[in-house]
Amino acid sequence: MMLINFAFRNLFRNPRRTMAILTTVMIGTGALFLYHGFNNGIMNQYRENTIRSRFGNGQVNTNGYRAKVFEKPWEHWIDNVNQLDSFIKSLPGVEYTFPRLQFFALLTNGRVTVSGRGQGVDAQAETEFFTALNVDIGKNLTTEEDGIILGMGLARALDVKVGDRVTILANTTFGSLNGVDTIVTGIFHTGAKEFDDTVFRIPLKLSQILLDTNKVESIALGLTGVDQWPAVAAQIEKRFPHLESTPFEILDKVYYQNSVDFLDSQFQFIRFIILFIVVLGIFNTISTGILERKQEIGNLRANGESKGEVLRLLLLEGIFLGVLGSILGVVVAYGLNISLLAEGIPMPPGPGITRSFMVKVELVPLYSLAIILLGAVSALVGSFFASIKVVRMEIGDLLRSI
Amino acid sequence: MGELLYSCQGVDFHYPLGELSVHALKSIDLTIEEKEFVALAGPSGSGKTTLLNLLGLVEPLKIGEIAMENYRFQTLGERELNRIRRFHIGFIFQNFHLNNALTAYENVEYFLFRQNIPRQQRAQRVQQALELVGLKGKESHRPLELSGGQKQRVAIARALAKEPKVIIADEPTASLDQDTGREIMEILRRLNKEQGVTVILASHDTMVLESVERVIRLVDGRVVA
Repeated sequence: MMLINFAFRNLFRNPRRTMAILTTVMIGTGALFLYHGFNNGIMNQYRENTIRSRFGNGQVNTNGYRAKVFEKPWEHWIDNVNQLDSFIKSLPGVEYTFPRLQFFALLTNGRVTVSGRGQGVDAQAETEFFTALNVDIGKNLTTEEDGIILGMGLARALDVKVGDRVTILANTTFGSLNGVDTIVTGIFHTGAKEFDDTVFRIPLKLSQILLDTNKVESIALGLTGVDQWPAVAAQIEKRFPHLESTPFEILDKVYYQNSVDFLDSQFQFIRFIILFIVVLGIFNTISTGILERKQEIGNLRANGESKGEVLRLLLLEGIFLGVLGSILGVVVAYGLNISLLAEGIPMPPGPGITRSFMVKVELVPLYSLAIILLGAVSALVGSFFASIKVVRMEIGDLLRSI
Repeated sequence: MGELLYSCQGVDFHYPLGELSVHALKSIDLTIEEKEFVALAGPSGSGKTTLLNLLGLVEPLKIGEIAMENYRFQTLGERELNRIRRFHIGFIFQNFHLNNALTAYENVEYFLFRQNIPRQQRAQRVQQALELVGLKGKESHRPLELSGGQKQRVAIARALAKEPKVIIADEPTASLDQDTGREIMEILRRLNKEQGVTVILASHDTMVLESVERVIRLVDGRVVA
């Protein structure tokens, strides 16, 4: 106990030196902690953007629907939609359900006819939840029974503007040709050319009339949190064993998961570089401090302290400096996060996203313990390598040091 | 005088200085008895500090023999050397080497703690030592609050509290003015006479050399008187 007391008190023996080491540890660990929070913020924001761009938190289909291409896909669509929808909405964590139909159709304005890929959606719910669709001209679908929004390229090909009539022609699920009339309410763009050139959206009910079905192809879900998905999916599959639930990470694997993996590996590499620089900085500052204490160490050795005892004392001091400096680093990081970084950091659009966004630095309290441990270990390692050479010196050489 | 404390025979010492080797001591033969008050004197480079360090076990003995009572230095291992330094030798340095973060009391107490002396006994020894050097009432002062003379007194108390067989002092008055230096020498003389502590010091200060009972003069690494 007294040794710990002496080690702690020794920190105040040379306040300048102690402040230099504490500052190095504080800056290094604070930077790492902030970087980890920034990394978290970016990944969380990217995940949120992905969820709100296309698939929500995940999607429900009939078993095997996504794995195969069917000649008559409507035979594998979901029926008992209302029952399923009611059940899903009753589950804890479910905020939105998005029943959807996708189909191919011809669109005509009476002069020009083009083909397109149609989406029948619950317009009101989708407008509230999804943000990827930028309706640049007019407005998004909401309650219009016969509204249509088209991709920029598709609208251009059809030569239509807001307020124009468009007739949609498609085969019903029974094989006959059917048509519905719509009025253009808006024109959107996502930045994905292939999407903007082919896709249009109409209300779900209108698409069901067009295709003469009361089924839906899929139901996407909007949850209160990402962590709710496993429980929700399990409940759905238990209650409806003929259905399968797929999370957004798999649905959007090419853009999301691959992007996440790609970014994560970059972040890991950068984190390693920061860590290396932090440890090197701490080692360097502690080394300098110990080299300045040769005569002091010589005095201890001359009075009977063994090499091991002196080393233990120096290592204890190193641990104290590492822990104290790291705690300061964590505190400073939190302070910066609620002040200078409170609004977040502006970021340009990421892969697959069309909008810029603000990234909040999301500090994880549990990670602060890891940071403190890292600071302590770095200081300990730095102290060890700096001390081991000095404590092994001859006492006379230590005493003669300047 | 008392029984034989130190015996040196044929002691030689070299130390490296860059690519060169300095022959600091040449065939030193001498004895020091208990309760002696001895000064090693000589000009700079005469080897007095080197000899002092050998007697204090802070330089490794490679040539010759040094014995302290029953201990023959050349046969001792690291652990034994540490033990002798810890329990039998007290050091006083020119620059005091006090811990500025500790009070005078704690500076004196530290090496007693290392001797595993119980707290109560430590307190007793520390108080006695500080009183002997005239620093009663200054226990809670830190070195930065003390004068040079007071700091050296703390250093003496620190060495004395260990109850060593010998106190070894390297230029103990070199950082002090004449009057303060005289006070320090008076304290050492008193400790030698009243407490029976053997004191061996190195100095080139005439005032110091006049205060001791015996002067061993070195020139060019040899004892000349």
